[in-house]
Amino acid sequence: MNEAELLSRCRSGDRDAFRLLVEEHGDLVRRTAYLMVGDRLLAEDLSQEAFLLAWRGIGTFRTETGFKPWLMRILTNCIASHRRRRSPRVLPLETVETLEEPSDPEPGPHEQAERAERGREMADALATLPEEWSRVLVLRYYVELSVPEIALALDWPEGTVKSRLHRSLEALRKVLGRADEQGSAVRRQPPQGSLVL
Amino acid sequence: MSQTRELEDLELRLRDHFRTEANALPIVEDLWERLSPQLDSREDQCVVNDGRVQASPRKPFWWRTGHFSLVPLHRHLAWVAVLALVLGGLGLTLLASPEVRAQIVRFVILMPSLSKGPATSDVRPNQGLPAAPVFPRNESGQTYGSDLGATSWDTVPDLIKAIGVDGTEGYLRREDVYEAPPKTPDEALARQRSRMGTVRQIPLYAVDGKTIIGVFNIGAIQGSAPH
Repeated sequence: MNEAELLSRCRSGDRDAFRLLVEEHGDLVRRTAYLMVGDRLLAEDLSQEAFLLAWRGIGTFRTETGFKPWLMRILTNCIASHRRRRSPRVLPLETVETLEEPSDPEPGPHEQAERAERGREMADALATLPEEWSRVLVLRYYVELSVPEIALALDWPEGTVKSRLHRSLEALRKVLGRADEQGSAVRRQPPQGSLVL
Repeated sequence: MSQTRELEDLELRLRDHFRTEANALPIVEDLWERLSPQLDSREDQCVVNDGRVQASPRKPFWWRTGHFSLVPLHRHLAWVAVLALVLGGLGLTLLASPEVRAQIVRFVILMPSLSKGPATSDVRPNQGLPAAPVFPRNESGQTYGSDLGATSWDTVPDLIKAIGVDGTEGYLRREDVYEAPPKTPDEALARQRSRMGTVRQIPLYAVDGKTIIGVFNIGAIQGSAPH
């Protein structure tokens, strides 16, 4: 059964059909929420809330918009509501230590250290961005939504999505460039106790 | 390195980073098991929107143009009765128990700042509510007056002040306005759905509580409201 049929069945109250949609998209929604809020428990709560709202609002879903962008829109609205209620931002720093890549062969210690460092740099760089810029990046490079789909998910004009994508990438590039320069400078310093000839 | 190549590298790095971070979240097998019971859970709160009551999970009390949420409507009180309250030009019909309506009055009517934009607040039942008014009695011993200040069933007068569909001022019998409470949220929702878009007419009485002087519509925006 394809997604359109599932959605059609959901609209007539078929919970089994909705279950299939939850199984299909559940992990993506949870992980996206996690990337956006940086807190595991909160991400679980928000993703559940997003699915509940999706179930209750399934009648308003229009097929031409695509289910994934619609679901992401609900999720980002849930997150925005949560932010309004709570504040302040929780930065997703706790996971940069976790470098599991189940599909990859076990990296060596040197590679692990290097990847950890690069992960830390990226997390730090992302933390310097305004929150909504980070969301655009998550939707583009994790959820793999297109610009029109992101525009739908965030309820922004496509031009705004494009400009924020561009500006956030540019900002990241600068921050990471500075980090690389600092790293290079540190690496260029001679180790203590050695002779410089 | 060319700018295009640099951008491609950055995009690759971002994808890798997000994937790595997202993978730190363990796979959950029981998402549906946790979600499923909540699909039918409607007891927490409700949304009153253009006179229609809908369930909504964990929404805060906030106000927006054309949208109004009530929280937390208590399980035993939320669906207790039908009450029409028309807010001026907004034409918004709210259906709520006296307790809940007392909160609405306090937060919407008595707090003008709420109408200026989104706001959040925890609504605690019967906390800081004005004292219930003391009502006069008619010859039959029935209390009469506006029930806007009512904070519980006990403080609703026997005859509720109202304006009929033709502008006549009179009173509604409490038992006509407040029906027997539904026993479950599902029953309440079923009742609500069955009445969606319908108008229930009840008599408008003189202060003696016996003489019918007009008609009051419940569920109609264009009619009138107890005040």
